[in-house]
Amino acid sequence: MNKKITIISISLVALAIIFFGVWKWSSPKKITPPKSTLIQYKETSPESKKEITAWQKYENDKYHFQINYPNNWHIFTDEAKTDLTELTLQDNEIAKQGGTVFWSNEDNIDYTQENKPEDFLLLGMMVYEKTNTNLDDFAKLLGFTQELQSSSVIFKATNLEGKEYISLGATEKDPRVAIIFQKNNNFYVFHLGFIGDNQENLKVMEGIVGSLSLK
Amino acid sequence: MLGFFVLAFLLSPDARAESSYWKNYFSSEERKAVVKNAEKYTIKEIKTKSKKWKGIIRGYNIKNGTISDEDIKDNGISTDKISGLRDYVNEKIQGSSTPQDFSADNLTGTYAALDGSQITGLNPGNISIGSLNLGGGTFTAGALSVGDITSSGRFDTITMYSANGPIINVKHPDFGAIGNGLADDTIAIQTALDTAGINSTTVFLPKGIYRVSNLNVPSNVIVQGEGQNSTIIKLLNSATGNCLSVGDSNNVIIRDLQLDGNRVNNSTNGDSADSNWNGIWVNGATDIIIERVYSRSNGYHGIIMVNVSRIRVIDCHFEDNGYRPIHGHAGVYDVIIRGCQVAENGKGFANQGATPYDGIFFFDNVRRLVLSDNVIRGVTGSNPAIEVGGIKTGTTGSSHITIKNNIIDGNSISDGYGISLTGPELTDVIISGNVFTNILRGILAVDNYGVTTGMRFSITGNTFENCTSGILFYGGISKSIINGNVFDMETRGFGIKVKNLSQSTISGNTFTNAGTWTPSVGNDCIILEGTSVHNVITGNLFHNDSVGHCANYGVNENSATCNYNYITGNHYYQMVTANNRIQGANTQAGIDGTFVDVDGSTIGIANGIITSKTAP
Repeated sequence: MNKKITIISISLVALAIIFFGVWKWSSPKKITPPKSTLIQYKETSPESKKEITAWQKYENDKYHFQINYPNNWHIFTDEAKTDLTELTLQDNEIAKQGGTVFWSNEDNIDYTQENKPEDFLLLGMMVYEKTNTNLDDFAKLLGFTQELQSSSVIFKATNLEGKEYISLGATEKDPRVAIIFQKNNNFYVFHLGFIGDNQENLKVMEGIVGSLSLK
Repeated sequence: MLGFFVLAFLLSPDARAESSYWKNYFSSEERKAVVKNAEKYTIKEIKTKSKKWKGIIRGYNIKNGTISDEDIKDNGISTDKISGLRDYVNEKIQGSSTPQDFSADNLTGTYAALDGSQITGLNPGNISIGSLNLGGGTFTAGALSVGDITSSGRFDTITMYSANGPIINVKHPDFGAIGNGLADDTIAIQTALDTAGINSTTVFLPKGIYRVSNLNVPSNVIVQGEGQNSTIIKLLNSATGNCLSVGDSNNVIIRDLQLDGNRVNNSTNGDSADSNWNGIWVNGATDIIIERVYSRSNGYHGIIMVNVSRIRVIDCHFEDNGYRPIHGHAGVYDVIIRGCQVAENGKGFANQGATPYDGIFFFDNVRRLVLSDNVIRGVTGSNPAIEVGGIKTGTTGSSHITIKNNIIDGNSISDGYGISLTGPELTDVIISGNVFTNILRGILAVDNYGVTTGMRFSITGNTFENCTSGILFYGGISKSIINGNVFDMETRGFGIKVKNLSQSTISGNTFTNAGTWTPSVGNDCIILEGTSVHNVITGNLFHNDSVGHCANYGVNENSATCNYNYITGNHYYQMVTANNRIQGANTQAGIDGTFVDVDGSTIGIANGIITSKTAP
């Protein structure tokens, strides 16, 4: 008798579980609240744009770009119109590189890391060519990887959009920052050197890069 | 994980200066330094350091935008959430001088229904009239709601100025006119005028009273007000000159405003000592339009023009000016005065008597002048409503004058002239369709300074009512016609009196009760005097309401030197004893007329002309 009661009880519990499962399966799904995607991007403020327009202008007719830089900064173009040559990036990926231009707050850049002045700022631009690669993948080849705590934010220049990549410091004082734009198979890479934790330095360099205009 | 990236940091052994060194640094060495740091610190330390730098870099000028999945599915996307949209639109709108291809046709689905009603929160401060460009398209007023425009939205507060814009507002802060009837706005408005002169633009004066002294209008400028009684330019007390001076300027338009000369506080006599205070002084100028301007209470003239050409004065109003409403002399070419109201000017002119009202006046070398559709009231004394000519010996005559469709209402039948033609060499004059009433004489061609002579006058279709006399030409004209006029003289005086008329026709005129109630020689319908020869007087109607009264003669040839006049086909009704008076030695055969109820008992014939006839 007790066994029967036990079997019946177990059966009832089993049935209850089955019914509950069926009901749960057949009932309307709970609506998930819409997800929002946060987009962060950087652009030069209208006030800064006015100043930047008044800066001196550099045009490169080999790589077809134009850029402004502060009137008290200096440009170094001894390799600005060199042809692209092959080099090996991370993971043995091959790309081409050339057209290097530097801007600095100093009137020469004949320094090394060890003997550069205390307030030395250096912005370097290089042109790369790499086929079948998107912007983020190319940044990884330059070392901006997840493993090194890299992250990015959209960066808007005059007539194109790229990304500003941030990684760990190159030295104890300076973060590693690059702003990269892609046009077809070409990548325009700006390295923001030695900005430290000074937002004014960052503002000037971002102002220069933000004035980039591709023809 | 990080061990994978742990590599030795090596300074480049062949590091070179200048670009090559730093190119290698950024391409390779910097990355190696990162890896070295990753090896040097713990993950916690790396994250802390990374967080600090990212905070700095992201903290500057970061913009955020969000797109909700739900937005995309159901409710559309606000434009502020679409990254790059603003730049795209700006580029499309501003970046090209060619027609844009940004079209609603490119929108699909829900957005294809966009019709502008979805635009909300539009800031009026962002709307610039100066940059509004309809591009030749159609602007449908039906879609424009003006319900929210308040008094502060009037033109006087809207910024309607740019350095090269089409309209300059004198109240714009760049100029700073006040227009409150008290402040001296001379400098503000003069600066606006000068700026407009540089850019060939319009100077706009919003409603207000602007106190000024002697503004100079440069070439290629439009001076635009809001109306004759809304925008008032008033001379300051003790002003130094005219309201507006257009000296040696070309292509100027002045319209929709009032010029108040404030003569009570500047000049009251209206004589030559006050000649600096005019409403508009135009000298040596060409292509000037003065339109819908009320010129009043100026010390001297409402408008004075000297040595000018191609001037149009249209739909203006002149009143209470010290001397004349419009005055031109010493070279006035190609001028049109049309649709103006003129009354009670010359009140300040001390030489003109107690109620000295004067009229429009042109003399000395006037060519191609049209005066039409004007209403001129209240001239008195010996002043004409309109005077054109050479005025005196030594000045140059005038020609090609048309005076038509004006109404001239004098002050009383005892003074004032309608139209006065003066001076020598006056030729090619048309006077037609005018109405003369309540005035001493309708048309006068007699010169106090000399003999008014001329030729090719066409005086047709005018009406003379309640005038003491109709037409008096006392100099000598030829090759002219006086046709189709109506003289309703109401027992006051003669109809036409001409001296030295030759080679002319007086025909088709109607004379009623010309002359005085008690007939007298000299108060006839038509009087020929001096040496009037070779004229035809025909088809006229001479009508008296009562036998034995009014005009003595239908035609009175009142000089023995008249000759060769052909008087025929006229109709005489209830005339006095003699119907024509012939004193000249007319050699033409007499041709009769129609005589009804005349007072003569026999047919009189003098020198071959039937002079009277008994009623049938």
